[in-house]
Amino acid sequence: METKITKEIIAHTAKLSRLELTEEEEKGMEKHFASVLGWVKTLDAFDASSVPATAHISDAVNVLRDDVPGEPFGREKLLSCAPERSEDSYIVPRVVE
Amino acid sequence: MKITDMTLLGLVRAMDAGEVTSVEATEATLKETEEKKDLGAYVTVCAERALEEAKAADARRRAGERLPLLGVPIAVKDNICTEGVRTTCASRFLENYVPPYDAFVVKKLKSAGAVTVGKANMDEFAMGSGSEYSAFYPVKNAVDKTRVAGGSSGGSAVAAASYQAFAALGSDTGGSIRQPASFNGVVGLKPTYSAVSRNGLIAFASSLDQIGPIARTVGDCRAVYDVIKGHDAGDSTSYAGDLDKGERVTSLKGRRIGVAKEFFGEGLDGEVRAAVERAIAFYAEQGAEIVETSIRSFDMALACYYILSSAEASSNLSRYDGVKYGRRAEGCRTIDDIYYKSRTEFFGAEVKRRIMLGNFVLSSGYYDAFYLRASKARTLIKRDFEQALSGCDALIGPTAPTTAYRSGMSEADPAAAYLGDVYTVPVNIAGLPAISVPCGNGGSGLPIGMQLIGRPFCEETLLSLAEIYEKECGR
Repeated sequence: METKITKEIIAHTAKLSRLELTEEEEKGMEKHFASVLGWVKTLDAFDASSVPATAHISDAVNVLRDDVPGEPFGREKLLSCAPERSEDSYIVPRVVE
Repeated sequence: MKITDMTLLGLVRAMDAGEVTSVEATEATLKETEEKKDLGAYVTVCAERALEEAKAADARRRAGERLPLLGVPIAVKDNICTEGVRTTCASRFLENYVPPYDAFVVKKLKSAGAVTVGKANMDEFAMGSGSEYSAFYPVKNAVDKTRVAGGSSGGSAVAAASYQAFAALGSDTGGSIRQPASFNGVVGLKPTYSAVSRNGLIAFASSLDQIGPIARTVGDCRAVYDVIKGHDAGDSTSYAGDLDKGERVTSLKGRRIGVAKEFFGEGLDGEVRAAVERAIAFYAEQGAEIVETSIRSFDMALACYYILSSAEASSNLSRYDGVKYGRRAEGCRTIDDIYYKSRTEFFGAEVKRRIMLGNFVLSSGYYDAFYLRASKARTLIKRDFEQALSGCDALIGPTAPTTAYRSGMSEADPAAAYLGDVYTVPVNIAGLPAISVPCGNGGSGLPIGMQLIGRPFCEETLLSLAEIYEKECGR
């Protein structure tokens, strides 16, 4: 499949990625996408309708652990990783007006 | 003999015999890390902590305890969580991250008595093939400082190759253990997918990532692998069945080694080809039957890998939101500010390229053409390997098309650097075990590595085949 990588595609993908790109970075990204997606032609070599997809290599599905009570992480231990916190919670800007 | 020149197994024997202590081995190793700092192998050296661990190991040994890695100084790649020790993934985003827990493999190392020397440098989030994409400083090749270390486990490979550790843990998503091992003249084992728990490995591409050992000898790799493998309820993909389906090969008579022509195509450097062909001739002389075979879907592997790994990466790295851990950009007024500014400021260029590519191939309108099609190509690649391996004990080929290239070469065209992964990525796509073993040097003295690829959970077959070669032809 031929996909022309445009400035709009790059801008939209940057939004999905929550990244701000400079104009120069956008141009570099366009070039990079074109190079990598150029190889995708090699994937046209087979009839996709007859082949199932492999998302995961092992056969395991929905492995469940035994329901055994254990020690959870301590609150302080986890909060100590936070970039901004109060005594007992994460701090973020107001999200609900 | 310098203590650091010993093999891992040699050190364990010497310590068990009372000839050397762990404190002596650890001090000697720390001295190497100090003297070879310019190689950039470590992000963090845990000198004090390592010496404490060494003292404790010596005490346990004096009390009669014997453990497989008791008192052995080992390096751990910096994408593997270590409780209380900074784990950065070589990223500004995690520059100050101190994990609240140990990865499963770190717990395993500790219970086997190992001493952690430090956290090995790498490409940021394990994305790269040269260890030049570390956010802090690049890793230099242990043989020639003007060349790349390989990657992404470049620090792990250089630490083992330059005697800054007796072995190291790396991770391999598309060649990140095998290629740096090859570039630095050491041995690297990428185990079967799911043989080693990923619990505590900072995720890059979850269906491809696998932790494994890098060391100076095959036997040393086996010693570390035997410690870290095994089922873990903390990783839902961890294999609960028999992990020892391989066999210890002692004679090559009646063994079949496959050569797939696609591993010797265009783009393979002449001296690498010659070295691998000499190794194939060695196996033939020893009585193995060399079988010609084919991986017909080989040409699809690179596109398949970069689509799938980037897609998984874009999803995995969405967790870096500047809220729960890692860093947050200054002056954010809204929640969107936090996301955009933190991710823009703290992710490096290569990581951004992968996230972007991944989000693109998963986005509405492109999913079927790229992600779904690549997932189907994966099925074909897996089938082709199954078929090729059904007729032989292992496949043999080069680990990388060239020896270590000059630093700075991937800057102008980052996509061109991806071509160097052409022989390693198919193995991850198929989830198979593979080992890279030194097989000579190029004209400029740079190490060349060959790769043996095996059936699922047949690591021992690969290790013992590699060991026969190493014994006759190795260092």
